[in-house]
Amino acid sequence: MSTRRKGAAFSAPFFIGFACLFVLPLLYAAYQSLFTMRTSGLGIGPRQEVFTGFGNFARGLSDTTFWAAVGRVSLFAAVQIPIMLALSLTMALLLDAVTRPVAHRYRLAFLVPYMIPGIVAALMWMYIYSPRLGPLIDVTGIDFFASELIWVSMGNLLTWVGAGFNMLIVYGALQSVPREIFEAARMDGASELRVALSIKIPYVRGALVLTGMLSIIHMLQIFNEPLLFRNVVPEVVTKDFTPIMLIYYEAFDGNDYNYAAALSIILAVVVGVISMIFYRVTNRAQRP
Amino acid sequence: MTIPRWPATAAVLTMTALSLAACGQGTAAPPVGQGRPGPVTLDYWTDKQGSEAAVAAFNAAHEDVRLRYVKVPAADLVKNLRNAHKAGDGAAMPCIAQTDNRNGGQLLAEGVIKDLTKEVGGSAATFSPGGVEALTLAGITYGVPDKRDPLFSMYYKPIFAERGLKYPTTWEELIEIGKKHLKKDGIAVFNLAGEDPSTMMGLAWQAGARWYSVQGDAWKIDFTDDASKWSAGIMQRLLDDDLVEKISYAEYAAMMQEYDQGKIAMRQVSTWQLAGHQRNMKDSLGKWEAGPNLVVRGQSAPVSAADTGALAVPSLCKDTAKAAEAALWLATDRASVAAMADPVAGSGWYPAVADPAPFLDAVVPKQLWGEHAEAGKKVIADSARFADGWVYGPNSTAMYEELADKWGKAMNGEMKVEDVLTHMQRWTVEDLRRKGVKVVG
Repeated sequence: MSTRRKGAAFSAPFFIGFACLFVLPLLYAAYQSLFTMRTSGLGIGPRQEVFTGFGNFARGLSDTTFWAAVGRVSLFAAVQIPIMLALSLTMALLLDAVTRPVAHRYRLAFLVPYMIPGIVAALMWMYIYSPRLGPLIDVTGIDFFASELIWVSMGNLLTWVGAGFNMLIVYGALQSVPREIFEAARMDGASELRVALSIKIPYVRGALVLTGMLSIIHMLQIFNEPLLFRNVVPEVVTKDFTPIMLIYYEAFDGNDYNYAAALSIILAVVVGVISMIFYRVTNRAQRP
Repeated sequence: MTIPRWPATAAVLTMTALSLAACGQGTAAPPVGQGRPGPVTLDYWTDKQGSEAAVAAFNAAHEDVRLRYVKVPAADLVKNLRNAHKAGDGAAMPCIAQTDNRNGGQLLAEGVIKDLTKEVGGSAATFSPGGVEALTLAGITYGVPDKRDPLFSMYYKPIFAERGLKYPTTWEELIEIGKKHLKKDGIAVFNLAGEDPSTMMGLAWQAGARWYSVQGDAWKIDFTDDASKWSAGIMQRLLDDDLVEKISYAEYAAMMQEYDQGKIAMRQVSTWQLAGHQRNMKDSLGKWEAGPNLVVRGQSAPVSAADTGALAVPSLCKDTAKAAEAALWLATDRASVAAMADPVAGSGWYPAVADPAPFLDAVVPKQLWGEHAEAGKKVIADSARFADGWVYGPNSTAMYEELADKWGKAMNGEMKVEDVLTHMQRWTVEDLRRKGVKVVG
């Protein structure tokens, strides 16, 4: 068997899955987005699928609730992601500064929140936050379900879940930095803080850019957490709170699959563009 | 070593294309009940407790038709029906599905469920008055009624007894009691959940509002009539005077605790909610007493304005006649109805049959009501007078979510309840028109 065939055999499982579960639905969504369902009279009975070309896209591009949702999560991302990454970086630097056995133990502990399924984590925190039954109200006296605090509550939850995973990537990058450089710096009288700031952090910039980009993509697609919070703070978390929530309700509640498909494609483009801008900007900043 | 880019890209594209061809359609399963000897098996989608026992009873009594209980969570049921319908997947489609008038109207409009006028029309007399009408839209009956919601009040007796107060009979009286006697002691008259606009909608409905109605071949949308405005006014006063507790159903345990500790004076309930209430009470067992639903403006006696449960038959089902027959059996047979009425093993459902008397004993929560249980039984029976003429239009589920969003804002004081109605009027008309539905006025 030629190398080429072996390669094809090894990659086939991936490509079959990728094609059936990703490419095909994507093409179908693109096709669907070109149509719209029309009905007449009382709207009872079979509906007609009418070709509207880019009609759904035009509606999506001028849909203020959609863009408000994109703006909302972008702003949220701009605050929450830097905080989370700073925390991840600090955790990674601390782990890097201790002996290996100790680091291993803490690395696992830091990662536990990430192992908990998102929906379980959200339910757990909703109990902890509860101003009636939760433990936090007794300790802090703060109502974490208050309208004005909901961003903080949700940001804390996301940080708690995501910090460990990002820490792992940054820690991995730190491990690959040649140790001799630290030795040399210490010989020259650099403190541990100086070593961290001037050597370690510049070395893991690439990892930070990667985790930053993944976090942005994740945030623009956030769904589970706000959906659960909708029950407790319905005045803030409306059905069009995040782009994916809006798409979900259009498809499964309003039964407008075609418009939902068009919005999904617009969102994918937005995520792509934002990721690209982020990558370009941070890449440029990295060059001396 | 550098690898030229284009061959790699071409290889990836080829592989993807080949894989796409590989994931084509498999052979379709033969449609249920065709060309096979022996009994026909019909799938029944539901997640309601007691249905399994009802299905077992059906299977014990029938030889030519078998029912198969398939548990589908209520939250996914409508979505799954639509998906199977859109895919034209007759093999995956059930022949009976548990739904209600709110979702049923929309499913009928979308063509997902069948017109059962012929099958059910003749049996209207076996159901509670208005039951079949509640599941009829523009002359088309789309479901077999299997549950009704008589609404009544339930009071925490000590709150009233200690202060020498009589139970209120109208919403206005409830507000007065709250303002004069309960607020100063930190007791709420009622709980309103921010995510659940059903109390406000039900009140408007009870007072005579008809948000959707059919006029010829068009819909008339009316969220802003006097009855709706009156109901908005009552809700506004409860909120403005700070007389209500605002606990979400997401915090069910906390809500139940407040009830148990006598911090909320009353609750508007139907029979299906009683078992849960009883299960969660500790100190207050035996201290709850039922009373008639509160009377609304311009009416002398209370009526119940609430949804009706429905067994529907999806359009892709091949055996409409058998499915409708089975649904009629499930909704009226004694064993099946008793299984659903059972408050512990079943769902505490109030049956939609013409004579519900034999099942009344089962739905009364004896520990919760204690010595008031017998009187409570009569209250339930008397509450089975239902407001008629209410239909949901072809965008009802989306309308309800929009209403829920705005209701949340009204509860938080960000907008007036009456402004919610004006918004809903505009939103509903626009949404229907965009879909090509005819709207008058």
